[in-house]
Amino acid sequence: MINRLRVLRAERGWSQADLAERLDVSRQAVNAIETGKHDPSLPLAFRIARLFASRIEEIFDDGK
Amino acid sequence: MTGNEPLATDGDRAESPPLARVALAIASGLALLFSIGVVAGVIAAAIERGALKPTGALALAGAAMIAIGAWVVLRRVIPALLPTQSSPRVGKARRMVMLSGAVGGVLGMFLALVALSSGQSSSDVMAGLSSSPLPRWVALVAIAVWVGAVPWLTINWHRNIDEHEAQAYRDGALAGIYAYFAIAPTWWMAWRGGMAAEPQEMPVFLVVVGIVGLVWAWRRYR
Repeated sequence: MINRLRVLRAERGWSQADLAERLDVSRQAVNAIETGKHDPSLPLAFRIARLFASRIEEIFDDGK
Repeated sequence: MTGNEPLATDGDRAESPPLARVALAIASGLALLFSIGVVAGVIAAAIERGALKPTGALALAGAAMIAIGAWVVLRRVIPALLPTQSSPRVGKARRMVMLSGAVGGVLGMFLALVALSSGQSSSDVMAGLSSSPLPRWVALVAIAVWVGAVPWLTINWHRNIDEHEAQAYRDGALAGIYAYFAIAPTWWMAWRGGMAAEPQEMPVFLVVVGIVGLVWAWRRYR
């Protein structure tokens, strides 16, 4: 699954550690999501969407 | 935290900790391990002789003071060496991992020292991860630590890890159970067929733990 997490994070000038702290996950988790190695659960996807004031489908794209 | 205020942006580039702090942490860690070793050695010797000599008592008191001092220093120094920017939950999970390593290290060193104090050579001690006899009190201490500390650490770790690490752990555990399914019956059949020594628990346990750890680390840090 591709996503715009890295772009959204960069727009705000946040590091991976900053974003991880805001989402209450580890930096490794943020890195894995950004690089497409981990698809977040629905609750975490909602937390991400809420943090960036976006809808889930505006951040994540399953390519279909 | 509202999610809108800016945070420092250098979180991806961990600053190198001051060399003096690293040296102090290493020295304190070694002092702690050394003092624990002295305590274990003196206790083992006292039990073997049936009495604690005055010099042994002095060594025990000195080692206890060194251990307490080293622990106090470590508690001050180590947090400064770790990346501080993490949520409380992530920080707690990290502390559980460190504590697990400390418990394993102390337990392993305790068993090794007991084996050394009972006259086994160091190579025997390494091989002694298998089945060399243990004094009953040593076995009881080791079992108490294993069944007391490990479940508490594990439960607290599972309660605080995030979903990415939980997935990494599930993948590791799955690889571990399949490794066990492969190794245990194969060794048993090979033994029955006269091609291998009698199966032993500890080598299989260590291989399975190693596989769980490797897969967990690969899934978490790749």
